[in-house]
Amino acid sequence: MAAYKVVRVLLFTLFVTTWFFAQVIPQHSPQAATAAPEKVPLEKVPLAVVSTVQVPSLPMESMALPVLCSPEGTIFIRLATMAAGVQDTVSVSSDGKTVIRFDRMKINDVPRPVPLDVFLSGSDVYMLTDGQIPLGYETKWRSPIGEVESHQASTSRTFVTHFQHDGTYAGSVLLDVPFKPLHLGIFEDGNFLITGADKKTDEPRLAIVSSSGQFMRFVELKGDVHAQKESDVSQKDKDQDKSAMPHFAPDKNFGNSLIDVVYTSQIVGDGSNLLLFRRSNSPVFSISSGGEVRAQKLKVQGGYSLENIKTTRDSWIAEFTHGLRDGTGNEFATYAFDPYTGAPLRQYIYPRDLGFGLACTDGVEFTFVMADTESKSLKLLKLAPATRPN
Amino acid sequence: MIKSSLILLLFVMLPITMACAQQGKCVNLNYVYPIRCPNSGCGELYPAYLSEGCDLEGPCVYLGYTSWCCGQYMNVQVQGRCLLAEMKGKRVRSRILELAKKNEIVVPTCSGAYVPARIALQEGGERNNGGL
Repeated sequence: MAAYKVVRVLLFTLFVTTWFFAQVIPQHSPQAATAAPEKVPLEKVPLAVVSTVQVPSLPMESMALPVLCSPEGTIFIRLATMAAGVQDTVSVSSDGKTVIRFDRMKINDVPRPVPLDVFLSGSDVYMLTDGQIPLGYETKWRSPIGEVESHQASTSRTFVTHFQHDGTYAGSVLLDVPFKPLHLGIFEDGNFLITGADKKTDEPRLAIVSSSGQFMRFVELKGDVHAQKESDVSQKDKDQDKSAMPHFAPDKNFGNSLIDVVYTSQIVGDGSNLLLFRRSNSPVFSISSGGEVRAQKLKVQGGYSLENIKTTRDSWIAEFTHGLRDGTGNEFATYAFDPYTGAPLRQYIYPRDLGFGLACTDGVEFTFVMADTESKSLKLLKLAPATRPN
Repeated sequence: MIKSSLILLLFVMLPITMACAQQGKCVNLNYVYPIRCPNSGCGELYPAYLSEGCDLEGPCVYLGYTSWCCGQYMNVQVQGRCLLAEMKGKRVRSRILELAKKNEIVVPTCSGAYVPARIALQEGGERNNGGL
């Protein structure tokens, strides 16, 4: 037994050392790869501010994306503060007057709940939520200096928790999936689309799960991101395989590793389908409740990184970032795309920098969550085409 | 003899992991090693324990769900991964970047626009929407 422990520690030591050196070696970033530019004549739509609504009850803190929007125009936000981390979801009515908190303390059937992700189904709020399940016995924990302590044993499990639109808690479902769930979508038939990462390899996983939490099937995504093989792949292969990403990336390249991309993926509703997209060069995947997948590459110039998608009746509104050639910063751009060809339909031109707080859009009107630096609170900015079509 | 080797190994590994941290890299310290804030002025001991019979694949329970140091380095626990990351600036900036490791965090800029933390807090800052 003791020899086994030594072997285990040696293996772990090897893992840590190998992993450390993997950090030191500069990594290839697939986002830096350049694709052929798409030369398509684009309609440019200048937008102008048509109204501003103050939300005095919410402070101008950082926020966790995505900012969501219900069919009624209610906006859902998760503030992120230094002291409390990512806070509970709050909804804000379009007039800014009604703020409802979806309090994790109301989750009375999940021990020590920690919401991970939020999805709106109609006006109801569903959260992917971690909980700690007591195992019913105590374990002895041994500190590195030899002290022994007894603690209640528990294990982490993931649930889908459900709130009604008025903040009333409606219950939870325990998920039974063979990977670490990270993001949630809900089909119209009530089944879940769960994306996450393999517990051992961190490779991305996607599955359809019944509304009772039972795993139904994996969904394979051709062209999705995956771990770059460091040992046996030539530089040429790496260049050709743009969906391969380094497992980890040094802090300066934060956002460019497989783990970063998998953790910050998003699922959004698109009619009866759900879209899965990642902050990478991989396509946008449109997935049906039956598990059929359509991969749609958005036709943009190389080097543009997809940040967000809002779906409308006939288009996908996508926000991108792009590193400037001189390395002095990033530029942002918003386009509407044809969902069936991936071709850009129009570019939206803002009167000034409005950032990434886009909450609602129907393709005509846009509502952004902004920080009001004077009142130190949030405000909602609504924009519409400066020259409306007749 | 074996126990002595184990202790020796722990003390050999600890400087290695701290050295990694000093280069601003992330180091996986899952379950095994004590983490001490390198800044002795306000450092605290954040021990990571190894349960009897626990391995990296088992239902291992970690104590101290999230903690961080107030010194030059912080200890970040992300989905059960215990990481050390270099704090490059003010504490708030680092805390937000920590949150951004497993969430897409946007921060308000001076103009009131929300910008991804990983862009706003990196060197060079951001520029306005310039289009293609």
